[in-house]
Amino acid sequence: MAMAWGQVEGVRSGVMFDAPKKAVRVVEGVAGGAHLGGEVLGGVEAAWVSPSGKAAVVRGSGGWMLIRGLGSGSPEEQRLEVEVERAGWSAGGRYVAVAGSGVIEVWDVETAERVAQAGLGEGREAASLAVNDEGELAVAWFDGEETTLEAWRRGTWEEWGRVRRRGAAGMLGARVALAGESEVALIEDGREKWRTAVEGRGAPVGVALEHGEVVVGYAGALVVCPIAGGDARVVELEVEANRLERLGGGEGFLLRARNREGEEIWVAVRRGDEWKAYFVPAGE
Amino acid sequence: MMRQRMTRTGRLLAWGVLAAGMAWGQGILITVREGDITRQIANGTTVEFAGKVGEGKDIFVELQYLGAFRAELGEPALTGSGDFRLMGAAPTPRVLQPREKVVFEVRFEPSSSRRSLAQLGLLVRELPPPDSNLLPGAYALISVGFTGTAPELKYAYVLAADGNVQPLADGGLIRIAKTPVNQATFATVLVINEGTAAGRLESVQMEGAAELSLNQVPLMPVTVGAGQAVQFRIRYEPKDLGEHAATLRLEGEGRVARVRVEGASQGAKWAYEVLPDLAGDAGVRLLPDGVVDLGEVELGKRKRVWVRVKNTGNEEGVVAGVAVSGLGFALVDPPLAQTPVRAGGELWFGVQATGVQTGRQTGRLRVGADTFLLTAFGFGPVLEYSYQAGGVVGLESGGQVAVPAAAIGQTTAAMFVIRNTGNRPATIGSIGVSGAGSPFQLANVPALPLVIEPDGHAEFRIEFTPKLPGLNTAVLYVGPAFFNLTGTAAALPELPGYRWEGASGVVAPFAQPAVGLTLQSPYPLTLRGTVLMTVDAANFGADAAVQFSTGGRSVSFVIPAGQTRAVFANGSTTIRLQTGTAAGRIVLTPSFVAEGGIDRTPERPLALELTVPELAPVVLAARLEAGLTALNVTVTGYTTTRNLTKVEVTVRRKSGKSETFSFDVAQAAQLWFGSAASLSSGGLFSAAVQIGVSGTAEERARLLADLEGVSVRVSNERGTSAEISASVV
Repeated sequence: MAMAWGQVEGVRSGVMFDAPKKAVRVVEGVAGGAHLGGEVLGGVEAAWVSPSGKAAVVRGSGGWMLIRGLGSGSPEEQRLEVEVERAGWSAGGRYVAVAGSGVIEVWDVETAERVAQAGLGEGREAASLAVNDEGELAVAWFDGEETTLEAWRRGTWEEWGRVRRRGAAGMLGARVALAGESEVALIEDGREKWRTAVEGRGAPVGVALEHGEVVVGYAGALVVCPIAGGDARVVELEVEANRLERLGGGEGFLLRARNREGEEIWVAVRRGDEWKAYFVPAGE
Repeated sequence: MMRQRMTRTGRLLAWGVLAAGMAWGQGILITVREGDITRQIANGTTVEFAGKVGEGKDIFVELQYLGAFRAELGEPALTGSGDFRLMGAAPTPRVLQPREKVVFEVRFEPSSSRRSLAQLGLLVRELPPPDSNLLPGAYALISVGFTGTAPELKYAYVLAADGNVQPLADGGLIRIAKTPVNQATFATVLVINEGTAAGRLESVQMEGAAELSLNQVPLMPVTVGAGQAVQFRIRYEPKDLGEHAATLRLEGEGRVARVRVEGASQGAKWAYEVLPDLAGDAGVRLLPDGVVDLGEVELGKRKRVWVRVKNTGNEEGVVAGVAVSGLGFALVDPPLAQTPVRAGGELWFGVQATGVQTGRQTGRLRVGADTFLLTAFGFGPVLEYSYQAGGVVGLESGGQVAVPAAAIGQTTAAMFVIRNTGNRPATIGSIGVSGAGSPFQLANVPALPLVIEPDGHAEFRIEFTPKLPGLNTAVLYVGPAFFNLTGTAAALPELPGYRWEGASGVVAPFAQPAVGLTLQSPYPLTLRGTVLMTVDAANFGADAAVQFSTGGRSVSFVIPAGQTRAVFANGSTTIRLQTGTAAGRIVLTPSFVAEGGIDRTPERPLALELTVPELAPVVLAARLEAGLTALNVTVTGYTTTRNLTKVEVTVRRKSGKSETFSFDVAQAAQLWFGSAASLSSGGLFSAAVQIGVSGTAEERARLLADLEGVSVRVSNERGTSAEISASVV
């Protein structure tokens, strides 16, 4: 082996939607020393940025669109006919599920094609959308009493599991994690692998499968369970999380976005074996 | 014979001579008696008698011989006016013995009121005693003259219109025409005695219409001398248009005369109607001195009625003017003064009442000569305001409420009282003080809308907690009423000392410590402030990541009145800041502004100084990508000096061998950290190094198969980082 050259440059850890600035902005630096920088997409009323940071479902002046090539300088737009109320990205950012206007649609970002469409049905609330990088869709339905996880298979819904009260779901490959106010269940290939109780923390704000773990976000804590099963550990947060979404183009999760100037933005990243929460100042 | 042939006149003359020659004591005593009146008269005396036309009256003439012998009375002769005549058989001729007498009865019955004259005469002589040789005396004429008189009352009248004297008789007519209504016209009635004796007017009476009345009637009965007259007046004062009649009854000298008296008025006659509106036909008739009732009038509101004045008379009239008096009453579109109104014509005007007081409101309306009473009943609430701060002070809207002085931050109060002295409930929809953050606050305000019944009251407190020195003012609104609130306060106290809490001095880079700000003692007013962050970089360029958690390098805070801890924009008593990854000094400087905008920042505010030291680099992550020709190692970390000297990569093999490669990255680091682009990253860096793999393909494949991972250390002039490992991706 022979030594070659070295290069030094700055660090960017992703992009995120900043509502007060109506823009998708760069996260400069690393959580703990990061801050929001310049815009990669402006004029945005609302957005769900893909985990890759290269696509987003946004609402601009022309309505809801799927944007591809985010940050490339030549993004492509695919108009969505759905008045999006909720969106969920696959872990790799290949697929996105959007719900609204009475339907749930799954879009392939690479081909900009809709690969699935299902009706929302009457009297059910799609509390959480989960999609994997194969484009498979699972929805956590909340009926006011309990949350039912259903997978969309061959044009029909298959029930995969239930939890009490309001819940949320996350999906990675064939695994779907379903979290409720006091329990977390892992379903793999439609079968429940394990279920564990968590201390009542209210409704989960999001679920993700990451680094071999099921990460469930609650308002004041993260509950982390090994995917293989085992004891859950609780990471207390200093912030009231209102979401758990993969940070676009970076590692970790967005726990709290800001709606107005002066509000705090918080993210959670894994440092070594620990999940830690940091604020990300948004600048002036 | 010769004596017998004498004419009567001759005999009377002869007898008169005898009588004249007789001593009267021995002669004939003549006594005339009329009723109870008896008079002795001398011979030849004329006696006057008053009678009444058509009525007889007996007069007795008595002749008595007073002599000592005998008297021969001849045949009487009554000459003159036929109003006098002898009644019955004459008592003479006759010879009277001494003291004997004869009486002649004379009936006086005046045929007219003219004076009548008559004379009763007879010859008389004295006869010598019988058997004497004396010769009878000479004849003398005894005569008694009669003058007859009689009254004759006649009537006449004079109208003031022409002054002509018109005779008036029983059954006659006095007509008084063209008398204006409510004006008096007089007719003078004359009672004239055209007779020769005093007449007697017994009574004067008038019966009939009240518009006709007697006036200046003398005390009855009254004697009217002959040729004289008395008068009185008939007053005709019509109250309205029309014909009026009465009977004048005159009784004089035993006769009654009845005269018809007629009066006819002329002029305008005013009829009044009150109508609720101009279009209305159904008005309410209104009589002079009547009442125009406008009914209930809400306080502050107006109500009006219309008055129609119609001339129902027979002549054009003039409305001299219309006037109104009384608080709250006014005319609407009144006619001009001296407005003529033809017969049958009319005019309109309005009367308006404004509710100015509760209860009955009265006034007067005058239309020409007619007056009317105006009434209305004011209703509504009447609110009276007062406040009590020591004594009780009454208020009008717009008045001033002086709340007792208070020190800044302390509270004084006054009690505000609202009383309803009206006769209807009062509703107050709002009670408040103008302006946000006013030093005046209301307490114990009744629930709104507030309803205060008549004679009821409500109250609330006005609390004065000044935040500014000097005079404080505000406006208190109580429904539509407003009051100026004033209160004075002493000067603001100086800001007490304060301290920083939390992080201080040297702080770690890449950290998010929290700081807090606490006053040493509470301040009476709410303080608002800003913590301003300044960053002095030790090495070129300040780290853009050095910010407060709320974004940016300033954060606002509030220290509520009476408290000590600052509450920052994130709602917490602490605020986190990001220390960044570049060495330098972070200075936090607060400013304080009291409510009202008064700067309370000390001249030299106590700043919090945090120092991010220069340290050895820190590696946050390393990544190894192995290719057939090279190993690419990417190191992410930070260096507070914003400089790097070298990157050491130890390649570890599964066989246990390891090989360390040292990269001098000083120039590359200097190039990066010296660039403007680096300013957004502070001391963060991503260093990529490449280790070439040489040899044959098989040798390279073996090498990569034996590759376990790498360990990375990074150095700057302050030292070397801890080692961090990375496996092959």
